[in-house]
Amino acid sequence: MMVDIQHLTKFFGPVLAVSDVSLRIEANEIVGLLGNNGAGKSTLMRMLTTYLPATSGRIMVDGFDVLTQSQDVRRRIGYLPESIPLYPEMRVEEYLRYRAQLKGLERSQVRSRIDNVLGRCRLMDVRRRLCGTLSKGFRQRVGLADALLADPALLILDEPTDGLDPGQKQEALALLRDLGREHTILFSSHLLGEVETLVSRVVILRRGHLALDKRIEELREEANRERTLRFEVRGEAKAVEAALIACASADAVKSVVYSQMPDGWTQGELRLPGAMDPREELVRRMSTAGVGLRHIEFHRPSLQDRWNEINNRDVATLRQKTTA
Amino acid sequence: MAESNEILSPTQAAESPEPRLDGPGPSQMIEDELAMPRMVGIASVMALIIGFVAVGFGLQDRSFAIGPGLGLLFMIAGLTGLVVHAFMEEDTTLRLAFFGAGVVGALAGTGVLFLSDWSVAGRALGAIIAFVALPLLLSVARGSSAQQPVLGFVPRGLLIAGIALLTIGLAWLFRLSERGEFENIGLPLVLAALGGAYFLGVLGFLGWESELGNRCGWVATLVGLAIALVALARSLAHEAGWWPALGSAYFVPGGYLIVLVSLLIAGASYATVSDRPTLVVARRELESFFYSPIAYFVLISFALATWFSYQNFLGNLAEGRVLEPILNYYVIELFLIICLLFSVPLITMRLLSEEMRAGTLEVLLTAPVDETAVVLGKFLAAFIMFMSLWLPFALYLLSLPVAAQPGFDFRPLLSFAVVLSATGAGFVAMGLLFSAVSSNQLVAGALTLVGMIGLLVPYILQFRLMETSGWGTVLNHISFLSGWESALEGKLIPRQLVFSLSLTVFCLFCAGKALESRKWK
Repeated sequence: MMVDIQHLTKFFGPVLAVSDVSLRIEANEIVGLLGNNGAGKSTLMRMLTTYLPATSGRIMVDGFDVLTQSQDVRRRIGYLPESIPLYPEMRVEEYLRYRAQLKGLERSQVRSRIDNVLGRCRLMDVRRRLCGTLSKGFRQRVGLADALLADPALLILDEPTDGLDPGQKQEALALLRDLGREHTILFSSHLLGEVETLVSRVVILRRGHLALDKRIEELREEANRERTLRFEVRGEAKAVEAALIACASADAVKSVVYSQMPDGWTQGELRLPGAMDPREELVRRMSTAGVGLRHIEFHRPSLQDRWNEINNRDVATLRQKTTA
Repeated sequence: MAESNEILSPTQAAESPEPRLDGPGPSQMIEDELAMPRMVGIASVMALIIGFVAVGFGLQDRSFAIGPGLGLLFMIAGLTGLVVHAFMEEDTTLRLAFFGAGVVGALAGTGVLFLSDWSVAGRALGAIIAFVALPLLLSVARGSSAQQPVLGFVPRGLLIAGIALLTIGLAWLFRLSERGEFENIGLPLVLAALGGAYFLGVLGFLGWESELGNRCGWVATLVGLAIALVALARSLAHEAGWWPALGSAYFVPGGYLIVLVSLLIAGASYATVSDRPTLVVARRELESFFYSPIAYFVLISFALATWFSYQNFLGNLAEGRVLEPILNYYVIELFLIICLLFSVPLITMRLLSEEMRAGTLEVLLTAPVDETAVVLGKFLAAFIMFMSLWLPFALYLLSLPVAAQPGFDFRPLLSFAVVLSATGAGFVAMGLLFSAVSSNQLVAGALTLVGMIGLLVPYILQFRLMETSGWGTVLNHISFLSGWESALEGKLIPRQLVFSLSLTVFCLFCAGKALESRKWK
């Protein structure tokens, strides 16, 4: 196991930043840490990197305690902070050489390691540029190159795609996917879309509480279990009802949510259990009943829906959920 | 490790490795124009010629438009400018010309040292030229983006030359110390310093990564330590009376000076090649001083302040108004003290504040480096910077024999150097502490300035209190200027060092705790 967090709590004075979070990350997992601003993502990461101590709880990284064996932990992590602080007066290559020395790389390996990370992060063209003159995208890459220098087992990346243009974002995600083959990655983000395609696990924090911690397959399965059939109809309500009852169970039909659309059509959402697919049947019955049907589709709850659900929940229920 | 191409999307992989103007790559880089360095070079040559003529006239006691002192300043400025040009020049022919000038300078400068019928001043000039020749020689071996290094054998050759000079100098010192001849240590000491400078200069040029530099650095560390140990054993044996053959003036000149020189060289070699986090941090910090204009500002203003006080000192000498210890008139000088008060905050204010403000502290302290290493590394860099402020001060003294009678006693400078190191360590540590408690450079600087003034106050107060109460004595022990005064008399009094050294230790400890304080905030 790469990371083992147990009952982690962090107070900043009276402010509760992280509340009783327990989390385990296996080797070679890519974990996406999601949450609104101020949800405690960065604080959690800083505690993992040994920069901040926890108020209570215990964190083990690769079998080492971050509190008592912090040097061992630091040798095993690569950290990219949110603001990517660099020394503006140093050249990219010089900066990486300095970091390599600090991280205790062997002298004979330094040059090849620097070339390697420069190549991986596509920094070859700017290797002689001053860090202070780099654009945001290149700063991100330099930070990532630094995190990769010592070839650490665990990469902790705080919003690695924040502030990048769409092209760079794609590149960064591709790089992360590639890195995930050899490294364990914990990265934070507030872009759900990018997380869904990349990670093997999603962790959502809400106001310092652990609100969700599920593997991406579990989430997909859950999504499959709760399919919704969306349709848009125009016609007599009774005819619609009858057609629906003929295709799905009467219980399900009772819970259909109707909403009026501006152009006179009606949208309905029908929750369906299991693998049932009544679409063909429904179209036939509706047309014979003289009901207009212009749209019909299955809708699976996306991560965004889960996210909305979590964000609408109040903190009291969260607390119950985590203590339960 | 996967090849870099693997991670590229197909469109990007098809892209040529050359940066394209329309691609997503960085903005285009245009090589620096050489016009500026060449202008500097031409101006430097002019300054150098004027300075040379002025000093030459001065040496022969003939009058010239500018005095020999100012001429020396011109020469040093000219040589500095030439070095700057040499390091920026790309043209192979010009670089070779610089190399040629370096060879001539090094050989002539060193050769002049051995001409005993030349005046002390002339030989001092030779030493300066031999020192400045080093960067000229090295500039030719510098590789750049535009050009490969010319004459790759140069660093190796310079290393050998440095070691040879160092060996001759140290062996000579050993021999003189056996005879107890203090009067003649000037030449071997300069040779050892020259050799040390060449050796360390090349080590620094080669850098941490170089295999050659690394090997030489480690050997120098070990050999230096060994020589220091032997010299120390000899000195102790002499003091215990087991080596009565040694001369009477043995204490400063022969024994401990050798210990000091070899320890300095061993320490500097170790600092260049070691990969201890403390030294890595210190090396970066020292480099970054020279990336910002502040270092040059402080160096130049301090050089001017010491120049001013040197001129004043010469004026006093000429009027015959000086009493022993005459160096007091040089060092304890209002303008110089004011400059000192301001230069310490300028050196220390950004050390930790800047790291905290920019957030680089977080990256630093999540690498396998602890707070102690960071604090000590920063302290070391600032301390070296502080001590190098006093180099021009020492250089001016070299020209003193030109202006005054040659019978100048340099020995009090040795005790002054020791006391200056101790008080300087205290200043810098105090500045570092203030820099650790505020992420605002200005606040840190202002606090340090207040602290510096606070350290000066005991010196002024002690005279008023000396007669009326015992506090005068206490203040005298605290006051750093009192320590300087007695050191300039040639007295090295441990109690004058106690306050500065405890201030250093206390401030460094607190600075370390201030960095850790984020953990319990």
